[in-house]
Amino acid sequence: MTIGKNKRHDSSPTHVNGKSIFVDDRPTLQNEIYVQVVGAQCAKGKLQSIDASEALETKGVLGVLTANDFKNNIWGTIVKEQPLLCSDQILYYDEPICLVVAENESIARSAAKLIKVSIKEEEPTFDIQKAIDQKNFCYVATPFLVGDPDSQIAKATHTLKGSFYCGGQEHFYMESQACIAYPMERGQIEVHASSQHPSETQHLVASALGLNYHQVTCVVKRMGGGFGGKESQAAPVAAYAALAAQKFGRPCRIAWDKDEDMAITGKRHPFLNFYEVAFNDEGKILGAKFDLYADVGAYTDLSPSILERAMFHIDGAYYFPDIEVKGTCVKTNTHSNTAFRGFGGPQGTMTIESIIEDIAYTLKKDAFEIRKVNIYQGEDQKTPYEQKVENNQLPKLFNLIETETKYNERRNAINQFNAKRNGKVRGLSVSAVKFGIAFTAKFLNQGNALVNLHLDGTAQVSTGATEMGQGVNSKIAQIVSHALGIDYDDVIVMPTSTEKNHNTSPTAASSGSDINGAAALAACNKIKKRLSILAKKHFLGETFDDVKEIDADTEVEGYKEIIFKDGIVSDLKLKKEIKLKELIGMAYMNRVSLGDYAHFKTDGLGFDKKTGKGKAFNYFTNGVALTEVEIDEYTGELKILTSKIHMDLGRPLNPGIDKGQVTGAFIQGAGWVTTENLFYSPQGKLLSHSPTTYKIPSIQDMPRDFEVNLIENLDLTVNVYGSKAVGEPPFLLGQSVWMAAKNALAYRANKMPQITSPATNEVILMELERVKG
Amino acid sequence: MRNFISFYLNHELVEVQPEDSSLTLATYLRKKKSLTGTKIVCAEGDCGACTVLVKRVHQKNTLNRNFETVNSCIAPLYLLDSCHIVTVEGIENEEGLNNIQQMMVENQGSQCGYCTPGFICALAGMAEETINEGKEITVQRIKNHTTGNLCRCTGYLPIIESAQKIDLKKIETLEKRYFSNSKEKLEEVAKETVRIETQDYSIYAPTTLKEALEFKEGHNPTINSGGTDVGVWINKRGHDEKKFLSLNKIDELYEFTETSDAIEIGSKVTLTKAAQNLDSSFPEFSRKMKIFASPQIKNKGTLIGNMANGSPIGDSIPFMLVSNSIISLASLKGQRTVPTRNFYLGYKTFDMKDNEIITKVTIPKTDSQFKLYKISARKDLDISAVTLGVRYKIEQGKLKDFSLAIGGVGPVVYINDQLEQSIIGQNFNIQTIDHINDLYQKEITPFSDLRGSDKFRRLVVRNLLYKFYDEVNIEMNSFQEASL
Repeated sequence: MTIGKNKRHDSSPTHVNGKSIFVDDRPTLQNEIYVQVVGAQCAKGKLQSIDASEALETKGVLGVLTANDFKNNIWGTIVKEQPLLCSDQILYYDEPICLVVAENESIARSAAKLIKVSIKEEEPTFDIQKAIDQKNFCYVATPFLVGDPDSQIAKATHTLKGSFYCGGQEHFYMESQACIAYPMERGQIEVHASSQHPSETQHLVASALGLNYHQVTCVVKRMGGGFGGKESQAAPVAAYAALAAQKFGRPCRIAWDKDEDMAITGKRHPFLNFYEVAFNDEGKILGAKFDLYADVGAYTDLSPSILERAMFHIDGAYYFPDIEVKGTCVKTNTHSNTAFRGFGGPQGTMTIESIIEDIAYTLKKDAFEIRKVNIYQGEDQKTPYEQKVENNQLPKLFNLIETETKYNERRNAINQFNAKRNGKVRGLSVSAVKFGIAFTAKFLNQGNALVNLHLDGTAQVSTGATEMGQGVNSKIAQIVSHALGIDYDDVIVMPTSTEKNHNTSPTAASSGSDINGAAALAACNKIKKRLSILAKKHFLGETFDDVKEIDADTEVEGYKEIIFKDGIVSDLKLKKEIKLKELIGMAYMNRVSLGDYAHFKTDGLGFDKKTGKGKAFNYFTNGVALTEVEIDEYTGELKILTSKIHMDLGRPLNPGIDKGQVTGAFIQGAGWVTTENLFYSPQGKLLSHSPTTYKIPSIQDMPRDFEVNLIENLDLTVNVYGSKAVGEPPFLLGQSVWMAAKNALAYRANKMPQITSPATNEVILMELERVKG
Repeated sequence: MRNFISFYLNHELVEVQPEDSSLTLATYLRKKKSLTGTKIVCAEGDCGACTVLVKRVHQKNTLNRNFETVNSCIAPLYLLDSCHIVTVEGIENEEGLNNIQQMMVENQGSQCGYCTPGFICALAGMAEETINEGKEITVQRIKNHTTGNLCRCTGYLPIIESAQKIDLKKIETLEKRYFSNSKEKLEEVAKETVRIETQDYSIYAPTTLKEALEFKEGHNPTINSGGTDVGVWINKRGHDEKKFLSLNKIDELYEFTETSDAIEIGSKVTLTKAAQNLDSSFPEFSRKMKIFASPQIKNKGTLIGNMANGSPIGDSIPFMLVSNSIISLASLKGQRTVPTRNFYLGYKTFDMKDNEIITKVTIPKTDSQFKLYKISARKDLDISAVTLGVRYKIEQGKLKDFSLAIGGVGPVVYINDQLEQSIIGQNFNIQTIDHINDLYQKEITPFSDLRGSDKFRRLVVRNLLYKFYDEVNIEMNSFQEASL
C-alpha cells in the first residue's frame, strides 16, 4: 500500500547530496556554444537599427541573430501575436531584440554589451487606470449574470462601492529559465528545457525553426521550481537555444541569470477590480456587481484564461444570490504577465475577502461572523456561473477553525492587547478557499501515460507531467506501485519527453497528478487486465493462447477477484496466488504485452463560454486559514504570529508532500501580499530584479506558530483515488495575512482602512497615519 | 612566494590554474570540477543556493573555530587560499547520506531541490557549531543558521521539521572528518605569500601588512577582504577590476583586542566575530547584528568592510558614528587615525588616501547606552530603508549625553555635532523628542527609491525617535502609552 502514505519525494535522495541534474548542470560538450539575449532599453518604440559590428568582431563570437533568422517569429499560446525577437514594435523594457551566439557564456555576455540598438521611442503606458481610460483592451470576457444585482443594490440597507488593487508577483523559481538544444540527424533538434509545457515548447521550437513536430523532441527532467512561470514562457527561451543550435550545428545553451529572468519574463497579473455590494444588517450579501481588469502587460499570453479564473473565483467561498461579474484584459507596457499559481484566482478571491473586512468595519462586527453567514451551505447552492458547489466542506472547515483555534478567546486577547496601546497593534482574520479544479479550457483536461513493466518486476512510467518540486512524480510512482502491487522504489518516473507522451497539457491548474496520475492508472489497469486473464488461466490450470490487447474499459471476467499486492498476484475466489515476477515471466514467454499506454480525459465538464454558465470544474478544493499578525505602529513592520490552516484534500495521495504544498503555497501567498513589491523606474525598467531588491519571505518570516491540518473527506469520487489537487488552492490562504493586517489597522482607525496589496511596511505605516487622523 | 592558489576541496588538495584564480568558487566548482551540486541563483550572495562550508587556517588559530557557511557565488578563489572547503558533495559519507540529509529526505524538507544543497550546507554548519558548543538544536538556532537561504517551495516548515530531527550523535564533525587531515598541510600553505600575474589579472595575497602596503602604494589595487561587496560589483555592476589585494592571509588583521577603556577590531574581523565579541560591552550592537545580512555574508564580510563601503544605508555605520569610534589607517609612511565622524566626506568618499589601508577601528567604552534601529522591507536579510542610532545617558531626568545618527536620509549617514551639543542637557521628555525631530527633519534630505519614499523615510525617522523615547521609558519603568 503506497497510496495515502508519506512516501519520500522521489528526487530528494539526490537533491540532498547535490547529484540531481538540472538543465544547467548537464556537462558542457566540447563544441557547445552559448546564446545571450539583448533586450530593449526602453518600454515602447520603433526599432530603427541593430548595429552588431563591434560584437561580431569580438573573438569567439559566432554570430548575431535577429527576428529574420526565425522561419516564424510570432508565437503566443492563445493569440499568435508576440515576436520571439522584436523586428519593429517594442512594447516593454528589456524585450528581447537579438541574440549573440558565442563560444561560451562569458564571451556572449560581454559581446552583448557591444550591440548598439537604435529605437525611436514612443510614449508608454504603465498605469492600469490610464490603460483602462485609453481602452487598451485585448480581451473582454462574457459576463456572468445571476438574478438581478442592480435591484438588490437599489433596495439594500447597506451598500459598499469601491475598487481593490493588488500588485503583481515574481515567480522567483530558484532555477532561472534554461535550455540546451542539441542538433541531431535529419534536421532534428532535441531540447532539454526547464518547462512546465514540453508539448508547447516542442511546437514552438518546430514552428520557429521551420521544422515539423516530429523533428523536435522536448525533454524535461525536472525544474528548480516553476509556479506557472515556465508554463508558456519557457518556450521562447528554448527557441533561442534551438535557433542557434540549428544555425551553427552545435549544441547551444542558454541559462538566464536571475536579473535577466526577472526583467524579461512575465509575472502574476496586477488587477484593478471595481465593485458594488449590497448587504443586510447581519452582513449577508444580497447582491453584487464586479468589474475586473487584469494588467496583462505587453502581450496576451495566457491572460484571457487568467482573467476568467479571476471571475470564477470572485465569489471566494461565499454565496451570492444575485451577481454580475465582468472582466477585461488591459495591455500596458510591461513584461507580458503570465500564469502564476492560482492563475487569477487569488486576485478574484482577495477582492471579496477584502470587501468582507470592509462590511465588518461598516457594521462594526467581527469579519468572521460576516464570513460565516455568507459561506456556501449544503450541496445545492450555485456559483455565479451556475455550477453546484458539490462535496462542499466549507461549513465543516469554518466550524473546525472556530473551535480548534479558539477563535473567540483569540479575539478577546487581541482586544485586550490592543487596548494597552504599547506601540504594537494586532489583527486577526480568516480567509477561505474554494478553488475550482480543472483547466477552464476544456480540451486541456486530457493526459496520457506510458507504463513499462520490466521482467524483474520493476516499472518505468512516463507521462506528460513535469516535476517542478511539487512531487507529481512521487504521486504517480505511488499510483503505479499501488496499482501493480510493487514497491514504491520499484517504480521510476522517467524524464518527461514529447517522444513518449505527446499532445500533453501543461503541468498546471493543480491538475498534474489528477490527469497524469489517472492516465498512468489506466495504463496499469490495461496491463493488469491482461495479466489477470493469464493468472486466472494459470490458477485454473488452463492452457493459454496469446492474450490480446485490452482496453481499460474492457470487462474482464473475474478481474475484480485478482489482487495485485506486495509483489503477489492472488485470486480471492480461487484462493490461489503467484509471485508477480513469475507471472510477468510467464507473460513474456507467452508473448503478452507488459507495457501500455493510456489516454485519460476528465468527464462531465460542461462550461459554456458563450453563456458564462455551466460546470467549469471537476470539483473544488476547500481550505480555511486563520492568521494573527502584529504591526509595529512606529515602523509599519508586520510580524505573522500565528497561521492555522485546515485543508480538505479528499483522500490525500501523499500527506507529507501535500502538507509541503500547503505550507509552501501559503508562504508564497503571504509574500505576495506583504513584502513582494515589484518596483519600476519611471521609464518602466524593473528595478527589483534580484533577491537584494525583491523580497520573498525568508525563514524568519514564517508565522511563529504555523500549523497545517488535513481534514478527513472520504466522499469524493470524481478524482484519482478520491484525492483532491493541492498545488494552487492554499496559495489563496496566504491572503489571511493581509486580511489580518487590515483588521489590525481597523483597531486604530477613525475611518475605514483601505490598503492595496502588497501591504509593505510603507503601505501599512502611511495608512496607519491616514486612518488615525 | 607561490604563483597559484591552493586549498582543500572536500578530500582533495587543489592547485588552481593561475588563469582561474579570479573565478568565483561557485563557477569553479560547477565548470572546472563538475561539482554541480552547488547552485548559482542570484550571484550576489542573497539567496544561499551556493552555500558551501569554509574553514580558514591561521598560524595563530584563534578566531575561526568552525567550518562556516559562505556564499560561493561571490567568493573569488584567491580569497580562499589555504582554506578547507566542503561542498554538498562532501557532506555525504562513505555509508551514504549523512543524518542531516536523511532527515531532509524523510521529512520532505526538499521539493524542487534547487535550494536544497545550500540548506544542507547551512544545516551542516549549524550541526558543526552546535556540537562544538555542546548545545542542542532549537527552532531558533535552525532559523538563525538558515536566514541566508531562500526557499520558494516549502514555506520552510518542512525544513525546520527535518532539522529538528537531526541526531547530532550520528554526525561526525567536518573538523574531525576533513580538517584533522588537512590542517598540517594548510598551515604550510598559509605561510606562503601568493602572487599571481596573468594576462588579465594581477593578484596579490601577502602574509604581512608591510607587503600589503607596498603593493597598495605601487599598484593601487582593489582591496578584497571578505569579498561580499566586491563580488557583487563584479558579478552585477559591470566592474572590471584587474588588480586585487587580498588581506586574508595577514594574521595581524584578524586581531580583536579588549582593554579596560576600548575595544580594537582588526580589519579582517568578520561581522560574525565582531557581533560575538562585542556582546558584553555593546549588547545593543550585537543584538542588532542578528538582523544584519545573512550568516553567510557575516561569516565573510568584515565590520570594517561595511564601514569602508560607506553606503548611507550601511547597517553598522550609525553605531560606529555614535559610539565615537576611531579608524586607524596605515600606509608605508606610518599610521594615522581618523574619528569615524570625520571619515565620511560625501557619498562613498572618505578621508582615506589611495596608498592607505584601514587596519582597525577602536571603539571607546562608555557608560552611556545605545539604541539602534534598522527598518527594511523584510526584517531579515534586507538592505535598510532607514537606520538610526542613538547614544544617550539620562540622569535626573536630563539627557547628559546624546548622539544621533540617521541612515537612509541623504548621501551619508547623517550626524551633526552641533545639534547634539544643543540637545545635551535638555529634559528627557516628549517635548525634547519633538524638538529633536524638528531639528533633524530640517537637516535630512531623504530620497525616494524602491526601499521607500522620502515621506515614508521622514515618518519613520519621527516614529523611531518616539520609539526610542518609549523604549527608554519602558526600561525606566515610566512608560504608559505609546507616544504616537
